[in-house]
Amino acid sequence: MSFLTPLYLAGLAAISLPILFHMFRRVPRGRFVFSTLMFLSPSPPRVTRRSRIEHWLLLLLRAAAVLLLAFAFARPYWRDDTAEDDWSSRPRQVAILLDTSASMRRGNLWQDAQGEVNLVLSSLNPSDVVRFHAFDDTLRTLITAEDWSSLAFAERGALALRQLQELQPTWSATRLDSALTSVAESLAAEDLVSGENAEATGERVIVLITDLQGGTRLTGIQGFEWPEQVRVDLRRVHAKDATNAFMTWIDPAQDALLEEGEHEDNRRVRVRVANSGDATHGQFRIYWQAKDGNDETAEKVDIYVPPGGSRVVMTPPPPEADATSELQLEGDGHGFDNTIFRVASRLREQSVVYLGAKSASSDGPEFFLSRALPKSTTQQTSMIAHNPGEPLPPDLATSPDLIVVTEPVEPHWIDWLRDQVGGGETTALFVVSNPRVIESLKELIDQASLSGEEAVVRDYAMLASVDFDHPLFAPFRDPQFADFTKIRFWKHRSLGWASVPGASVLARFDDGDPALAEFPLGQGSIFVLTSGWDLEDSQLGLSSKFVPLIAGMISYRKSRISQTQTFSVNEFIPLAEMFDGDASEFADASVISPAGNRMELAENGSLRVNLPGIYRAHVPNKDEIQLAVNLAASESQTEPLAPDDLSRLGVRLADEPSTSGHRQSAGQRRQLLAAELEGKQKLWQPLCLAAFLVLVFETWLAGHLARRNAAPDGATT
Amino acid sequence: MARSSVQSTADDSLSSGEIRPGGRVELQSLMRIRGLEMRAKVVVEGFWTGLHRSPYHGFSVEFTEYRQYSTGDDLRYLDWRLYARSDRYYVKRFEDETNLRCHFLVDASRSMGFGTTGYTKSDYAATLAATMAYFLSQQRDAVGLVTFDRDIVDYIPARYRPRHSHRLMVALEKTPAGEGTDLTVPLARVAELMNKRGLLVLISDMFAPIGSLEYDLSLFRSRGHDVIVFQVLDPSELEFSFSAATQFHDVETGKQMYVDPAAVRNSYRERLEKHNAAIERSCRQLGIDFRRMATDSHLEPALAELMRIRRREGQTRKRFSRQAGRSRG
Repeated sequence: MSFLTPLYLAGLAAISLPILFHMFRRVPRGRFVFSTLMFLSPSPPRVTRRSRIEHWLLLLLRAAAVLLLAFAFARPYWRDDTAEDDWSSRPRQVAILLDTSASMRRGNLWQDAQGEVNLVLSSLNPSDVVRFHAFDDTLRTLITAEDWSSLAFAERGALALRQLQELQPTWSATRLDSALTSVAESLAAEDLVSGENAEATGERVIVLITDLQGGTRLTGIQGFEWPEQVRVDLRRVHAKDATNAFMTWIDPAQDALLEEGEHEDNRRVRVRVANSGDATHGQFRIYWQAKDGNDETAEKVDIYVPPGGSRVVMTPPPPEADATSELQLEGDGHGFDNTIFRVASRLREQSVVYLGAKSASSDGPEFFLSRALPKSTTQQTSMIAHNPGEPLPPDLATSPDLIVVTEPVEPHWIDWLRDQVGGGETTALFVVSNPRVIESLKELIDQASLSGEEAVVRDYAMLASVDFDHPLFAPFRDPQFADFTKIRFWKHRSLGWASVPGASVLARFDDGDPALAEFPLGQGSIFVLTSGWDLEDSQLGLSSKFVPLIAGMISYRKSRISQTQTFSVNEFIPLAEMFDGDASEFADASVISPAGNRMELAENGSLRVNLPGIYRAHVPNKDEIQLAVNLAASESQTEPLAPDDLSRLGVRLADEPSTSGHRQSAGQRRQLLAAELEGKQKLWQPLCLAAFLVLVFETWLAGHLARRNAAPDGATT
Repeated sequence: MARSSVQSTADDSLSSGEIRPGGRVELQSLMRIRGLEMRAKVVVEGFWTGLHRSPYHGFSVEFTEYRQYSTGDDLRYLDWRLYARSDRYYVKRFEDETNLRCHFLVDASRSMGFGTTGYTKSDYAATLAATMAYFLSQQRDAVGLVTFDRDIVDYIPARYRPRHSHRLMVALEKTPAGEGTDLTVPLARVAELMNKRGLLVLISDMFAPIGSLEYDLSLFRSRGHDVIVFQVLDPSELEFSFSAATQFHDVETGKQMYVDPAAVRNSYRERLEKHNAAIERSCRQLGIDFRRMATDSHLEPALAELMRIRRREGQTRKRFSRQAGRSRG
């Protein structure tokens, strides 16, 4: 048996105390109160008698308690000679994990981090197996264990240094959790991989070199069970200047609809400026970057943001006629996040043609339609009403977004409709408030089998089945919006057809009749609603579903470019979805990065951006679109985290830099092994328990003896 | 007439030194009775009123003797019929049944708080005093109480009143708190307080220097008091039967002394006996009755002792009176 802290064995000397107390007790413990001492004379204690041990068992119990406690404190363990012998020959598994996120661009951090890597490399042993990883929001393996092992010891350091020199901080966010858990898992699985040599695996250390800034994502570690044998040697690098301010756009969609005449203000943009908690000052300035690079003429706005605080600031109007713009911030210590990019949202003008009877009343279809048209800071919708019984007007709009037909139309209107809808740019909506409208539809799509008549509705009808997979109803897929049963239909028409290729029913009434059907026409679509939305037919016009439904139809065939054209670095931009096209169409698409490089799209038509700035996407037959890519806001939160934050999440931190272990003496290694063995065996626990039991018994015995030896006189005073 | 028969019966029993079986109660049982008055009542059971004679000769109903008339005698008590027969002036003397004035002097020092019998010397002394006080108050005698340590603690003058004995019991039930025993000062004070002759019953462990004890007690005797001393001691004080060597703590002085009982037992006994012998000798010289009471001894003998002493005193006085009368005649 060996002891981890043998100095505590000195406590064994305390065994002598009970013996001494027993042997040299001269002053009796008891005190007897007597009425008078006038007839007594003092009699000295008889040493011969008291120098004898009176209660051997009691003495032995007390000595045993002291002995057990001293042994427990000395942390005994059973020596494992084989383990000790192997210790020095065990290969250590070391993973160097270097943070290359954007925040490492600050000041001296990258140089410091490189210095740390050099330090680690220089202190490695030949037997150590090293992996070299870099991470930001993804984990990249620069040197694998196999690569390392295959090289001669002299070449290993050179390889690592080459990799290090090629490495630069990226513009990505820091996802330490995924990187750390992946590397920890791979290190923990080393035993399994090495198979027979599992026992021969030595210490496992992740040397984490990072700035551990506040925006580092750690949430993924929460649910991760940290491997017991893996320890993290945290090497933090610290920026000299702590002050870092950053800006984030306020989503323009959150802006309320502006009134007429506020165009100038509309061009002003709201931005949130935040300052780091450990900043030393809070005075900054923001301005729009001039295209010619001359910042002197730019209008600068002074702002004060206290350390740890944030403010929403209205910027000056961006430079005129610029779709893209860069907002600059100056005054803080680090410039890596001082520019944010923006693509001005263009006002989309949409038009709707209404073919139906004009009605002055407030319960007709035109009335409801005119109020359901979308109108916001990013889109404007106009409606033109025509009488389908009249000839085509000369100023008839071409390629409207939606044509709504509520009345039977003349043949010349049929031709016009066919042209518009067949071109693919326009969607038509036939509102069958009158069975005669079906005749016009039949003529338009040239389907004789199409028939319709007034349905018999008992009380009212409801929408029973809705195809939420259809793009029109997809926005209602969420259960909180999917309830259409509150819309009651008093009247509707039953629509039937034999076989129309591509026709589909999007919604049905509870009596089984189609409520909304889609018929293809050329490249376009025609929606047929078998009931009206006026109050005569239904409550649809009053429903909350009406406005998004109409908006969906207006934008149904147009390229639906996302309103949000601002993205973060390393985000996948679904270009194909934004253009509402097939991924195959984007095979020839090209994207120009802010650095001027041409980028290719992924197979699914998405684009991964890795630089902040303005990206320009060119897709054949489509308009050029510009995309603003900014740094992830989390990366700008540079206030450092405490190492305890990692400990709290279960990460086992090494108390001392583990790489120094290579310089440890054999004695220190033995001490580490002893600590490990002792930690596993935990012999101090049964020893403490035994000491406790001995003390309990000793207490009982001492009490029993004391009662027995109590003064027989039982004097009371 | 009934009274005289009771008296004669009691006298017979006292003279033979027996206690009636009905009056004996186990001491441990007695001391477990909480109320002191009840304890006294139990002990006094069997003793009745009128067991003692008055030490005074006055003019009462019972004639004792004739005395020749001298100038200044009250002419109301001149026996005119004897004058007619003998032509001499004689005055009739009667046995005066005056009430006895008895004071109990009870030691209340802390040394009285010691006891190994389940109760303390103080408890025993209080019971003893209460028993005798109750007995006397049953006789319509005036009973008073003085408790003392270094000085007088409580003083209740001798009276015969309905609630007076209760007051006495309450005072006796107080826990002894006095620091030390010093008989000189309290006895001198008591001697000053009591200007009328009576009986004094001193109950104490007498653990005090006896240097001036003889003088202190002689003060009472010189003033005509009759004195009885009861020395109350715990059996363990008499025998010093302790076995464990330990630190002995003087309850009064606070002094500590390591004592091995086996080693000092003999010397202790010798010193105690010497001390007690000195006290007895002083009492004897002064004509004071002395009795040592171990706290495990019954109380009735003490009561019998009291009665015996009183009876003897009564006879002695009567005899002296007669002798005086004869010599004058």
